Amino acid sequence: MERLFISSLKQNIRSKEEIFWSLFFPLIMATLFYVTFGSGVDIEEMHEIPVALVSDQNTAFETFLDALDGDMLTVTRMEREQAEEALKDGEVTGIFCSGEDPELIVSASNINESILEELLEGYLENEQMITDIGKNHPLKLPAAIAAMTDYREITESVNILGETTDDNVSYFFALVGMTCLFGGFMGLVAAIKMRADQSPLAARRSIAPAGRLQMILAETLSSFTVQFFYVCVLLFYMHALGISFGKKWLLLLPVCALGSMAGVAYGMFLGGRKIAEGFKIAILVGSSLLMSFLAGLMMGHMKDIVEHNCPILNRINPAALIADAFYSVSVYDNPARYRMNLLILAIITVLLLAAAWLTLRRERYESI
Amino acid sequence: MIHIENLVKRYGDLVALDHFNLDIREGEVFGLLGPNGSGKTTAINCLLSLLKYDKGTITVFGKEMHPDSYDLKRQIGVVPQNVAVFEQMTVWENIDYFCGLYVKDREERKRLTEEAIAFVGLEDYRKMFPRKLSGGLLRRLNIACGIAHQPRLIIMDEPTVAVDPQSRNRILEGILELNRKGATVIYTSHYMEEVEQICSRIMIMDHGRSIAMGTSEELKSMIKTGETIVIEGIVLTDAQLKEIAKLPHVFDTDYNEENTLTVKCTSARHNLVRLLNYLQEQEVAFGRVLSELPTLNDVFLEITGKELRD
Repeated sequence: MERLFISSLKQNIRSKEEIFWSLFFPLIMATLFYVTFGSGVDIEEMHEIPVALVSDQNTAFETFLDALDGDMLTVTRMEREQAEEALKDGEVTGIFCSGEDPELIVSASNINESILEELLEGYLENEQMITDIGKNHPLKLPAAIAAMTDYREITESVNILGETTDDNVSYFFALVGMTCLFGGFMGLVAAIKMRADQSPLAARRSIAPAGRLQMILAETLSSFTVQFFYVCVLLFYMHALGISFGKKWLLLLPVCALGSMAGVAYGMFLGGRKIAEGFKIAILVGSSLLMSFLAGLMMGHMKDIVEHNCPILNRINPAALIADAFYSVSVYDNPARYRMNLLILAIITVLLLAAAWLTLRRERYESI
Repeated sequence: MIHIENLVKRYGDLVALDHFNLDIREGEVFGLLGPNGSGKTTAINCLLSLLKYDKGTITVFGKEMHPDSYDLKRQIGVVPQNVAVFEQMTVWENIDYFCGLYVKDREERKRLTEEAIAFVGLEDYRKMFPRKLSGGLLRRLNIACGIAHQPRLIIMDEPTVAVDPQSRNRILEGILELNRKGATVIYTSHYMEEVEQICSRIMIMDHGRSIAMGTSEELKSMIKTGETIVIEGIVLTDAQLKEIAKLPHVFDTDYNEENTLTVKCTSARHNLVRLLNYLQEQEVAFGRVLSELPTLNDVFLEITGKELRD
C-alpha cells in the first residue's frame, strides 16, 4: 500500500498537465483577480446599506433605525408595495417592517443582508432585555434604554464580521472552490489507470495479483494529498497577496481538505464511466467551470442569484459549498452555516467516492 | 498448463471466439498466428480474466481462472500489445513498480529489476522517462515490465509491432532465452516469420476459431503446396503456359501482366529442374528465378482462401 501510494504520488507530482490545471492555473487566476479587484477593503470602509422602512407605528424600532440612518443605514420610508418593488429592483438591500413584531425582508444572503439580519436580531434581543429589566429592575430602565439607542454598542455586541466585507472576496473564495474541483483531473486520470477497459496500463495493472482496494486507496489518497497541498499553496499565495481569511483561518483547512477530496472523487467518478477519455475531460472541465461560475467565479453575485432563484443548487454545488464555508469563517463568523456546508460537502464526497469505487472494483469487462 | 474448452465470446452479433479450444504444455513456446481481428487478443484477455465470455471453461495450472485468482496471476507475466507503462516514472521505476505488484520483498525486487533491465539491454536508460525512448526501446521496457518477476508463464501479445529489425531480433532472442530458463511462452503475432522462428507449436486462427495446429512442419505438410517457383521477366504463349501446367507435380500456375510466372508444385524432387529444362527446350528467355518452400502464409491461404495479411 505504501509503495503504491508513493508511486502514485510520484506520478501526480510529475504530471505537467495536472500541475498546470491544479496549481498554476488557479495561481494565475488569483493574480488576475488581485490585479483586477485588489485584496479587499476593511470594515471601516463599509458603505451605508440602503433599506426601506414600512412604518406601522412601532416607534421604538423606528427610532432605533433612525439612529442608524445616515451612518450605517440609509433608511427610506415607503409603502409595502413600493418597498417590494425597490427590493426587486435592487434599490434597497432589505425591507424593515415595523410593528408589534418587526420583520426583515431580504432577497439574497450576501454580507449586507446578513448585517441587516443581525441588526434586527440584536434589536429584538435588546427589546426583550429591556422588557425583562422593566419587570425586574425598573430603576435601571433609563440606563438600559440609553444603551439600546446607541447603535455602536449594539453593533459591537453583534459578532457578525471577520476582517473583510468586500464583495470581491467572493471571486477568491469561488476560485478556491474551482481549484478543489480541479482535483478531478487527478481523480480522472487515476480512474482511467485502473479500469482495464479504459487503458492498456489499467489492463496491465488488473492482471497483476495486487489487492484492488489497496490500489484504489493508494490512488485516492495520493491524488487527495497532492490536491490538498496545491489548494494550501493557493491559500498561502492569496494570503501573500493580502487576501484576509479572518482570525479563524485554521477552520478553512477542513474545508480545503474536504473540497479536495470532493474534487478527486468527482474525477474518479467521471473517470470510471465508459466514455471516451476526451469527452470525460471535456465534461470535467465544463462542469467544474459551470459549478465555479455558479459559485461566483466570474460574477461575484452569482451565488446570491442562485440562492434567490434556485437555492437547492447552492446546497449541492461543491464549489458553492466551499465558497460559502469560506464566507462563514472569514466574513460571517457563522459556525452553524460552516458546519452545515462541511456536512453537505462530506455527504457529497462520500457518495461520489462510493459510486467511483464501485466502478473501479476488480471485474471482467464486456470489451477492452 | 492451460486448458481452454469451447470458449465463446460475442460482441453483440459479432462472434469473436467461436467454440475456441486450446491446450498449452509446460515448457513450450506456443504461437497464436492469425490476421488482425482473428481473435488472438480476445482469447488472451479471456484467459487473463479481463473479459467476460459467454460460454466455455478456462483453467490455468489446473485451476479455474477468476479475476481474483491471485495465486495463479502471480505466476503469469504479460507483455501487452500496446506499450503500457507510466509516463511519469523512469525506466527503473516502471520495472520496479510492476515487479513490486508480484514480489513483496524489497531486496528481491531490486535484484529482479536489475536483471530485467540487463535482460532487455536498458542499462544505459534506467533513469530516462519513457517519452525519451525510441519505439524499439519502449517495446523492450514493455517486455521488461512483464517479465521482471520471472513468471512461469509469459504471454506476449504482438510484442514486436512497429519495432525496428534490430530490436525485433533482440526481442525474439530474448523470448527463446526466457524459454530456455524454464518459462512457458504464449506468443501471438500476425508475423508468420516470427512465429515460425521461435514457436515450437503454432495455432492458426481465423474468425475466432482454430483452423490448424501443430509444428511448423506439420502445418506445412497439411497443404498441397510443396514448392512455389517464381520466374520473373518471362514471355510465354498460351500454349507454353498450358504445357507448363501439365508438367508433373504442377497443380497451379499464374502468369501476370508483369511477365511473372508463378508455378505451384506438390512436394516432390526436381520440380525446378523439370521446369527449367522445358523453358530451355522452348528457347524461352527469362530473368530472376526463385524457388520457395511453403510458408505459413501458404497454409493460411490454402485453408481460408485469403492471405494472412489481408
